Amino acid sequence: MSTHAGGLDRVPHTFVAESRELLREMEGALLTLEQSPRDPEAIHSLFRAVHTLKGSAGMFGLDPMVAFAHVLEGVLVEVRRGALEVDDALVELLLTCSDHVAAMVACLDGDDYVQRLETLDARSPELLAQLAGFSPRSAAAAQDLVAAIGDDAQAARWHISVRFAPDVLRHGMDPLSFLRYLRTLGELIGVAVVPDAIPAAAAMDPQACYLGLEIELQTAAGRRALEEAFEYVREGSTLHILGPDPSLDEYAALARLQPEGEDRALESLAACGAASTAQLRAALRRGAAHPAPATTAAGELDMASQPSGSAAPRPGRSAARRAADRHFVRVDAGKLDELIDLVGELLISSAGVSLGARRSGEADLREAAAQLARLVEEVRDRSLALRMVPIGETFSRFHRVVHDLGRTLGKDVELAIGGADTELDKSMVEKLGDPLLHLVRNALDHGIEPAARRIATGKPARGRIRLDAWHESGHIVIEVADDGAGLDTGKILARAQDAGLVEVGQVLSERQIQQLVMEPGFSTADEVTPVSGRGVGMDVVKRNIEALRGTVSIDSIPGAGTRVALRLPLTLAIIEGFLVGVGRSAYVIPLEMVVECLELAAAEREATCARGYLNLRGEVLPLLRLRDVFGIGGHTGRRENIVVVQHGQRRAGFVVDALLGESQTVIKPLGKLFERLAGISGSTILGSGEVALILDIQALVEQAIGAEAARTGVRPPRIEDRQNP
Amino acid sequence: MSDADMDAQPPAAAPVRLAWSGPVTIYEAVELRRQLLDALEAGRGLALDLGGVDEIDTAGIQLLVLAQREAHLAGQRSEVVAASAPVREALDLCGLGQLEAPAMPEQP
Repeated sequence: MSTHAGGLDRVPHTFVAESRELLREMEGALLTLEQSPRDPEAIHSLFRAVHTLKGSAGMFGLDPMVAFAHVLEGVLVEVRRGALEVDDALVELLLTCSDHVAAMVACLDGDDYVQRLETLDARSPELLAQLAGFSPRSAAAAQDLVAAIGDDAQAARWHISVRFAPDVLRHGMDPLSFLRYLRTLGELIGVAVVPDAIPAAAAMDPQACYLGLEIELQTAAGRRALEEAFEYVREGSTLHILGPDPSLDEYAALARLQPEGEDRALESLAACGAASTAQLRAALRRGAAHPAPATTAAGELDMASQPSGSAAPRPGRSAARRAADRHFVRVDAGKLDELIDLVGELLISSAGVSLGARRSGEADLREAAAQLARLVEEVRDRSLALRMVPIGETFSRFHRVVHDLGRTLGKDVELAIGGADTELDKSMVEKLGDPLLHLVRNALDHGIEPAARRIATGKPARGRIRLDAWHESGHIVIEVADDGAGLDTGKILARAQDAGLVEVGQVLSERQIQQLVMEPGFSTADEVTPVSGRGVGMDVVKRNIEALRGTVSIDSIPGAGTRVALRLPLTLAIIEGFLVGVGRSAYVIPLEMVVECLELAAAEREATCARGYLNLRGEVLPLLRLRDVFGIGGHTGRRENIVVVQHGQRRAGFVVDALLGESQTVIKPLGKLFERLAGISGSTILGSGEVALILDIQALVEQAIGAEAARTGVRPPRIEDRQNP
Repeated sequence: MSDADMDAQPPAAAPVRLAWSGPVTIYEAVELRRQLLDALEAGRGLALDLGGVDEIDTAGIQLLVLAQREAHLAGQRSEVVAASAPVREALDLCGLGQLEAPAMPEQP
């Protein structure tokens, strides 16, 4: 971190990014606490997030943030110590506080953040007053706020418990000097000497050290500094460091580990000012039901870990997480995009080299080019993987959405998440937020019934929404499922007929009717709620997903729930393409959409093209002649081919001149001018340097079906019959 | 080296008075423990005069704690009746200020 203090420099992006992460962590922990108010892991991570936020905000002189976080931390200390119970009201308030801090973080992006922070800070006193209502201690903290920011904004309580090795004195080390040193780090709140290990006077070696110390310290120095203080007595001594701001449960867990026994240990702890004997005893009794596993072998020094009790945080896990954190490098997303762009260019050049090598006819050169192509492909895969992120983070944001919406609608709904580790391209993740939000809202608003109706139909009162993701043959499938009422197909059909989407008398299957809700201008909600508005909903989702070259399908069982599945490609940047030639131009069809290729016999050509469809093994296959679609003149070759493509469940055949084979296709967006070009979704550069257009299969398939229908005079069903669950 | 100074005791149950001076550290500990044990033999309790001690370390503190415990176990009293500044500082540092108090609190 380069900029410091004064608040005049811009706050570095790393701080903003880190803060956002911490806020997410905080929110996640709060939502966990709402379900299980005593979850020690959640309490710990909540506390840690606020503590870290406060610390780093202090580094950049963001006083309003520090001040606010300080009071917040005060309340959390109480929670951690077990002195304050977590209930719904507290969670709600803490969520509001987290939003407040998030708003502060959000305004750091601008140059005028100092002013904006101050404006925002005007809201702080109100929240602080509410916090004070929960904890008398935080009220005190709010009062001496100014002093707190001034000197020990970071100071925390630590407890050090040490049983010295017998030979420390002989090695010239004096435990008293440790105490003197600790006094320089902060304020020694209390020290208790534990004499229990001293043998009977006659048997005692006066030059050996039998003493133990329980030390309660208020200091801004971190765990590291405390550990370092005892660096030289490591061997043979037992050291436990609890903190920052250890909870009663942690003290109790420590007491259980001490060689002198729980009761004596409690007395020493009380003597050094850790907490009152009564409080400690209560904590010890509370934990007695689940005795703590001893984490330290007797006489072994265990620096990193705190004694782990049932209620104490699990240090092993958080230590592992800390270690994992260090293996990540934070990279600007823009740099990754540049890299991917370059890899795209590299692919194109490599294709050019391969082409040249083939033409040259030199075996060595061809071999080298083939080798190069392999490596380039690997580089492509690896660099695309760099941009892959797990979808879990996107999913977990919906905890908050479900929580808030549930409250607004008066519905008790839990969110379950599956497949959080499933990865997809970062650029896709960003574009999925809105459609997913729509779907989750819909599920909550229209899907989940009010509790009374749920109970009446024999369902649990609490509704359930499930977000799931998994990989399926080069695609990612994301599913939003609810256990609500399901779609009312009767109502949908009536509504569709009113809107003229379906003709009266037209027979549709259940599933066909279900897909109708994605038609533009469709809404069945009896009443318009503030949550999901009117009319715009599923059709927007469908359009957004299709813009990502994905598909949406709905599956619903009346009374049992609805599932909406989004099927998306893993990346937007590079696809496997199938190259076809028409006249002198080349076109790319995404390979995954190609079903098969047929030769169009010269004898049947005239008749088939005039008819506009082909009888493919008993099925009607609408045909589209790309030569006609794109207005390419010239004569057709002697032979023509049909490429059968499939989009969703619909198929069509494209009539082309030549099949040119597979090709790595780096998608280049079309310029503004060509954006609305029908039938084209992008362009790419071939190895030869020529430009090839990428076909918009969805639009073309629809065009083919439409044209065929117009010719035969039958209005096509909007949803294909072949669509199966 | 500290000097042991075992006065001839007046009648009644006046505690044995030990006056130490100079350093009370690991180097003196073996000798000082012997004195403590001898003094406790008498069974009349201990009065430790540490007014002349100019240095004390953990080994010394440990002896004071030991003396208190042994006296208590034998149903006697052990008191620090005078303490020099270094002794007081050390006792305060490790939360043993009560050793110096005229009235011994009950050992828990």
